[in-house]
Amino acid sequence: MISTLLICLFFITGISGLVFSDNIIKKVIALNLVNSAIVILFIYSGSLSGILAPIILKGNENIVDPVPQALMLTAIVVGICITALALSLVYRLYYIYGTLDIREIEKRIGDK
Amino acid sequence: MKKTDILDVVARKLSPFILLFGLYLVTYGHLSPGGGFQGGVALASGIILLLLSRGSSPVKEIFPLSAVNITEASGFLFFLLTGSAGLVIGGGYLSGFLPVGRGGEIPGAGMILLLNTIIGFEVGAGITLICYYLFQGEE
Amino acid sequence: MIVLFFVIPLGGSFFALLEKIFPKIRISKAASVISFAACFFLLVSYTRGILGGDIYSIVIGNWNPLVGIREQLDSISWTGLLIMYVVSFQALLYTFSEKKYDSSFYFFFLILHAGMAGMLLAADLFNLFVCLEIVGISAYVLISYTGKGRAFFAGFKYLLLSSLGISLFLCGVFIIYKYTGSLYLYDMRQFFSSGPVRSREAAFAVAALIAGIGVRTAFIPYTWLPDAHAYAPHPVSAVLSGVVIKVSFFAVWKLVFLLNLYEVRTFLLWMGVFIAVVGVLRALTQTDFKVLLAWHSVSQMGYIFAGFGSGTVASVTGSMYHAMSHALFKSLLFLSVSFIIIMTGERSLKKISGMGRIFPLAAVLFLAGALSIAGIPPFTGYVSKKLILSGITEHPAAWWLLQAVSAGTVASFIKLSGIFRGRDAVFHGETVAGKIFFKNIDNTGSFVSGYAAMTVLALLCLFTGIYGKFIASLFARLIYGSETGISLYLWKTENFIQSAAVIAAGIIIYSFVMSSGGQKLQEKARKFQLSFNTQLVLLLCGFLVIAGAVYFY
Repeated sequence: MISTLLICLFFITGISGLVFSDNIIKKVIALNLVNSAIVILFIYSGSLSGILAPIILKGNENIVDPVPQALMLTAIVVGICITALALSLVYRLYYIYGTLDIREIEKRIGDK
Repeated sequence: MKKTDILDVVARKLSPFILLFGLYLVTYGHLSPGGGFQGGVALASGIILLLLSRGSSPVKEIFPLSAVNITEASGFLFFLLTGSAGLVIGGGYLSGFLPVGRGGEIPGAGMILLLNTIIGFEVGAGITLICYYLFQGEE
Repeated sequence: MIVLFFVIPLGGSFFALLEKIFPKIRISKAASVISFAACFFLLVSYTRGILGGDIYSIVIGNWNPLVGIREQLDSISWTGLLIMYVVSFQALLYTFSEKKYDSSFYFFFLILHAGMAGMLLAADLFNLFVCLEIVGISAYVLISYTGKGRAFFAGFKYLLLSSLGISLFLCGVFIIYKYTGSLYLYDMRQFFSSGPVRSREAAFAVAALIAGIGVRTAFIPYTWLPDAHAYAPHPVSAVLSGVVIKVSFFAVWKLVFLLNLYEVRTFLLWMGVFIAVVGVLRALTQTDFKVLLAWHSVSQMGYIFAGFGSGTVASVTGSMYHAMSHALFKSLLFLSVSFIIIMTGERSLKKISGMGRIFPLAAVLFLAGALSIAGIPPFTGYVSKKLILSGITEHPAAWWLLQAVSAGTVASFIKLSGIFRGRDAVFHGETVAGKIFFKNIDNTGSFVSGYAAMTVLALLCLFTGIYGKFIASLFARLIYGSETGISLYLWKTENFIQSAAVIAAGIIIYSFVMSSGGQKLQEKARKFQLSFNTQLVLLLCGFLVIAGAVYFY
């Protein structure tokens, strides 16, 4: 129960960072937090079914559910790509507008 | 900020072992926790550690940009070819056509070792490239 | 063999990557054309089976279907793939005329199409997630390809919004996996039809899935779409508006249809009507050609969702029909308007008019697209809008609002046609003689392939309108598996009178918008922009609203 709550807290921290932070790098980090919260959620609930690593040599009793692990590996890969792309976009935006504040960027685009 | 010698020495001594560990993760992925992606990331992190401590120009002498690029592209090609080989031989895309040995041995897993190796190099080269290009911006 | 839809574009993209590394080998264009042609002919070879009601499915790597990744080609995915290849190929031809795209552009273009094919073929939820992300990543890169600040910002906003949406989608996947132990779409049916049917978890899962894909279809916060579609490179705008949002729509379609989610349908109907109205109101106030067209994409997606949500045979068929016709005419409109932007370098309605004098062919092609989107017979939009409206009669409010949206569409296209209308070509307030823009033609080549692409799209708009009845019955057969006998009377005097009334209302709206009071109102409305943080909150609110709608229905 406490672990689920902690994961929820983690998720909500990410979301609130995404919504309330004006710095675009912080927004990207918050996005990573949201992503990690989901990864932990999957892995945690998959691990409830056992304690051994899912390498099936000695029978499949007491192993953790391997499917969430496989899924989350893919999700992590996707997360890395998204983060790298987002950071390069942030770099470009900073290069062009000279600021990391999203409101400032919006204002400059609106003025033009 | 001034760099200390400690960082330099530790990074130089550590990164060969990280690369070795990455290769271990890639080749033992079907027997123990690990695999192509994890190993690839470990490989890349060995290179990135050097990049962070030594700056990009000496690292690019050992791991030239063009070589990393070609590794990345050829990893992509080999993965597609391995997958399509299954399609040609019969059985569908990515289906195993190599003999499967006994469980617990290195060559025991048929296609998985081959695919893990390809993915390991692909991911390692890809993440190294991402960092090369991201760090290029500062200069 | 259906995995080839995914493998062929990836193989083509390898050759584009090769050109990136060895710039002397110029093969990326040839590779893209060949991959598109190969995929198209592969698709055609399945026509007979699909029309006969077959479903092709495979498991990648011949794994046990319980653990393997399943791909499935059914009638919906077949239709989606057909629309995708036809429209995207025209956009590809257009890129050859514009001559400013290098190999990395073609690389991402092909990856985008591999991802979209994967999305249409996906039969399990997680594969759908991966393909959504492939489409997303290549779309963000393509949007920011022009290297302008606004394009980067549009790509960045799209990235953050849809990544948040995708995180919600994963939460939905988690719940479904936890309760069913399976990710296969067809297994989930049991979860939703028996047992803890309308539980809190099911409502949450459905809302998360729909909201996650909904960001991509531009109906939960629709606000990212105009920027992203307007500042992308021109052929990419056509593909994004024409194909990418349709492919996500087909994913929503699959989910809703397979899971029999009637609660979501009612929500989709009213949400569709809402974004149709908002889209057209915002479009009326714009002066930038492409932003105006992008707001119309929002509004036309509203039409599609309203038709899909009402659930009657006629309007569901109509929504599929409209998905096709919107793909055709919106890409045609984007390409023909972009042609003027390429030639003159100007994208504001205030600075330019009468270009029909100089570019008559482009004007004719634009007219075909404009008549289609305004729903004027015999063009394609007429048939699809008629189908949607004929099925929606049990909700009179929705019917009237959609008719009003049609009138608004007519008005805003009278406004947009100002680019071509007028006795003399006017550029920046001065009458220009004509030849001055032709130097740009020389810079961009002869523009033959671009014209060819637009002509093909215009002809398709015309034919799918004329043979509307045949195509509608074909779509009904593809959706419902049998002849449904929609009573569709397209060429009746009554319908023509209705169209005439809509056009008349459109002209009245146009004259109001162009009056001095209307101009002031436009100015005020253009200033009104939602900040990005508000858009993120809107996405979360949309998710909560769907969850509530499903749970309390």
